[in-house]
Amino acid sequence: MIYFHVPSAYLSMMVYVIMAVSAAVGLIWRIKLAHAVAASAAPIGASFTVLALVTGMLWGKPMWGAYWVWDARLTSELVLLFLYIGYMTLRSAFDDTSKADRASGVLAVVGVVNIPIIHFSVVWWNTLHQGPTISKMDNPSITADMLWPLLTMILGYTLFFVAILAIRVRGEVLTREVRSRWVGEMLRESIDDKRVE
Amino acid sequence: MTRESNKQMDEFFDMGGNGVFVWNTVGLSIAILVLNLVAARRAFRNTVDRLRADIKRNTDRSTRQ
Repeated sequence: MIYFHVPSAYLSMMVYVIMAVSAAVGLIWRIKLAHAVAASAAPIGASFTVLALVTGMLWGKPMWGAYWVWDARLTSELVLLFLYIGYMTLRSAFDDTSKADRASGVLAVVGVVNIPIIHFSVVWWNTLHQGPTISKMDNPSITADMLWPLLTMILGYTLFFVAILAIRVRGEVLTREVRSRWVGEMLRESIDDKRVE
Repeated sequence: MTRESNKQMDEFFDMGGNGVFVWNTVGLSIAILVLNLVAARRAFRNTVDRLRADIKRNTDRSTRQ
């Protein structure tokens, strides 16, 4: 369970940070690619958050005797899911892409305050969820036999995220740059060749 | 298969009584990862098809004019 729940929880937070940083870059320096990355990362992060919550519930039932408790860690992770859903819903509420970028970007940046809350919730509050194990730099409280496979799974999930993000960003960039010459030429060529590069 | 290996397989799938939770976790994780891949590829394909259709429509319109 640990090899699925922990990597998905880690990714849920990492993807949100990437989303928030990209949104901030897009808002501050008005780089459209940054907004494309943020928009593309959101559905992936939301799916990892759902996975973290559900696998956590499936782990919690045999361990704690309950699928759900209003524990600080679980509740803040649920708030993270709401932030992802809110970001995607806010984006889809605007027809104008630049307005959607600005509004959803502000939400992403403001919502990033939830990430340290999730991470430190097991330290700040008296929680049912176990405390930090692998993030303790000096002495991880997990045996090496479990630590290395866990780190491998986290790496695998991360690389998977990068691959899926690349696919989504391609489509997002094409949509945003549809009026530019290179997109028109590429698509016209593909209409003739009946293939997509 | 011997009776001993059958017993080992049963123990493996039972996971100390937690088999339902463990295998549902594994299945759900794989399903969501696959869904991510399929959804991303489908979204890209739909975007390309839509943009191609728009370009074709604009080209036909300007040809007729």
